[in-house]
Amino acid sequence: MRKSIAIAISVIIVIAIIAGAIAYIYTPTKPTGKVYPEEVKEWLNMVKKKYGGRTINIAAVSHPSTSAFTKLIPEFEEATDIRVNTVVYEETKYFDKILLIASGEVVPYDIMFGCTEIRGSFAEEGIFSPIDDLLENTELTPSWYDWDDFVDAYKMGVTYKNHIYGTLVHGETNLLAYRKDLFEEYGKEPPTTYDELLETAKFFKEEVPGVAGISIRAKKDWEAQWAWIPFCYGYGGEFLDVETMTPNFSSPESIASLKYFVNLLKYGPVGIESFSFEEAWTNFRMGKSAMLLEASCAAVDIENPEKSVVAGKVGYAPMPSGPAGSVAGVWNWFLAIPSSVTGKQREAAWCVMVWLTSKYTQDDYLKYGGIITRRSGFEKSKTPYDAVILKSLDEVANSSLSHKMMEEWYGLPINLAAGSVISLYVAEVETGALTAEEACARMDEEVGEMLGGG
Amino acid sequence: MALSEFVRKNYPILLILPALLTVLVLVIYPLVTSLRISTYNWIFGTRWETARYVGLNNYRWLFGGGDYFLGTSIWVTLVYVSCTVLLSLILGMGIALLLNRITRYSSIFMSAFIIPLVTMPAVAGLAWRLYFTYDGFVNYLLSFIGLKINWYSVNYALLAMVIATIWVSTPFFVLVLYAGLTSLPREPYEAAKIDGASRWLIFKDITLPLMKPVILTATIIQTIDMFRMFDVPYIMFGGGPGSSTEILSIHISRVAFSMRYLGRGSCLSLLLIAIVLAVTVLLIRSLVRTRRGG
Repeated sequence: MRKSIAIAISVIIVIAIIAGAIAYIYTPTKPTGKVYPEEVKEWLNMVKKKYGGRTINIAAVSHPSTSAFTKLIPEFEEATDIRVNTVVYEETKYFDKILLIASGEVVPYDIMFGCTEIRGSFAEEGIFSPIDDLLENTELTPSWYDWDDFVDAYKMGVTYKNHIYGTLVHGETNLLAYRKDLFEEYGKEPPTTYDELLETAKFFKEEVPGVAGISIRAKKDWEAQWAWIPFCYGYGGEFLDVETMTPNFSSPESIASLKYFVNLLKYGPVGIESFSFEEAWTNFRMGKSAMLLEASCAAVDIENPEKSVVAGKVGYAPMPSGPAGSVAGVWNWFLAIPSSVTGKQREAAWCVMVWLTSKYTQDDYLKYGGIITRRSGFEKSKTPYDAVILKSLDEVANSSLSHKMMEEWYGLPINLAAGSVISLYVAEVETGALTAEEACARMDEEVGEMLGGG
Repeated sequence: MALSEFVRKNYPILLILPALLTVLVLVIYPLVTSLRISTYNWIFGTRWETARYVGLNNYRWLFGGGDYFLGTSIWVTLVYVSCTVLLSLILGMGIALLLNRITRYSSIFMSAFIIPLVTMPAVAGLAWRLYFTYDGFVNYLLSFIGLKINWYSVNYALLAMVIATIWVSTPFFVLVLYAGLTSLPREPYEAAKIDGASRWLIFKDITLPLMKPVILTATIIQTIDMFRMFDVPYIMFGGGPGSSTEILSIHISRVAFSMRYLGRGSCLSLLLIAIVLAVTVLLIRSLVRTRRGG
């Protein structure tokens, strides 16, 4: 009797699980009842007629932009009969996953996240295909998509050898956040040069109890390299001598910049040598540092009173200038189409990308927590930081040093792998195990080997 | 030959065939493939057809000083494994002995001690990383004795990692040693009590010798596991600061997947296998000697 009851319960549980799974997979999307402008309706009808019934699979990373654009999907599905599935990977291991998939015969995704650092590599290895032809197709790319509205500096992050490889879902640049209240109290101005930055950080660390001078990421792995590189180019150094295609870490300027960077860390919070960007941002948001030199998307949470005790007390400024000039990076996440996706499926994938990143859907995208990538978005924004970010981005677009860094280094296919090597040795200098000269010499050797084909 | 005749004649081989096939597929084939890859320069993310044969170059790189971090990595790994295994064993034995003395509700206490075992290592790593922040929970507890440590520094990061790993690995020893304790014969203990032996003498001269095979077996399994440990160390410090927590598993992942040198990563993996085998052989010899002597 007991055995029969146990079997019956087990069967009921299994049936419930299977029914739940079937219901989840086949639940029709709820009608949104949205009314579109005529030109948008026309485009959606065209997409439905040509590509309705297809399924598009997206490989995404766990990121605010993913949470935002997935909320745009139901209305697209309703209007076009195209089903869109999104698979989300953890950000730090996404590229390992994608490289593993790419080395196989079949890539099971129609759209994939890419970023500035890998665009060169994925373009050279034929993993991503350029989308220039799709952008120029006036039937598939309507006027309300408005490619020109994307910030020029951000477009650098999706361009490789004059071809465009994706549409932007996220962008960031270097931004200095500083405690207005502390600066006013101690009569300090936001630093505009590296020397001022160091001096201000030193002041707060040594003179103001309970507050570190500056919070910045410095952890081993790509973080340390990300944080150091603008200083290197700002000092007039370079990671790569593009004329000889050899690394140039051992130039006096590069070495000086590494010494500067490690010196700056001394005025950071305790444990900064192990800080990833999360710790750096959290430290500042908890009021433990006077300044934060980080990615501009950190500003969103800084001004969120639920996540930050310094909301409303923070001022923003562009990245300070070095001896050689002003340098800031731009980094993007973008949606790209794998080379293995062709024909009508490729066009359908492009239609999904148009919907998710268009000027028309921008307001909803930002409402759902997406990051601004368009000039119109920045101009409409009322936040205390977006005007500064736009100004920084316009400076980057006009900065030859920033272009040099973004195109010569971040355009290099091996930059991500080489970045791993660079971070190892930066970390050794941070802990005093190697001098800057020794570390740079080793970087030259190992990155040189990579450039030579390993 | 009739089927039944064939089965009867080859019964022993047929019985071990499934296990043999499993070992072949899951162990021998990957090992041979790893050996093969170690003789190629294969960039992670590219097709196998693009790999270039380089013979023993990867091994020359490995043993010829090409890998700057190899020596540090091996040393850190040995320190990490020996500290975690030894301290987990001592702590596990202590907890198992305490549990053995509890006559009522021991299963409830046992369940509490098993929690770290069922926690995902990545979650444990993340939690401990937060606990070890300068203003975190660990320093809060230490503040009661006037201490505050920078656990993220090169001097203490390895210790922090060892502590976190002990939290994850001790329950295994608790489970195994507790099972061993409950299966020990009662007679030697009764005789010892009659003779008036102290608790310490009973533990030293009766419990420990009787438990030696169980202790050694658990130690062998956990040692192999600690050599392979990746999640907790990677999440906590990613091999940093500097190279103070760059254990071999993290170093292999970095060379193979971050630097994209699959051939060199294979060499490093084979080196790790060799180290694990060497240590395991020593422990197994000790176990065999114990059994023969017992």
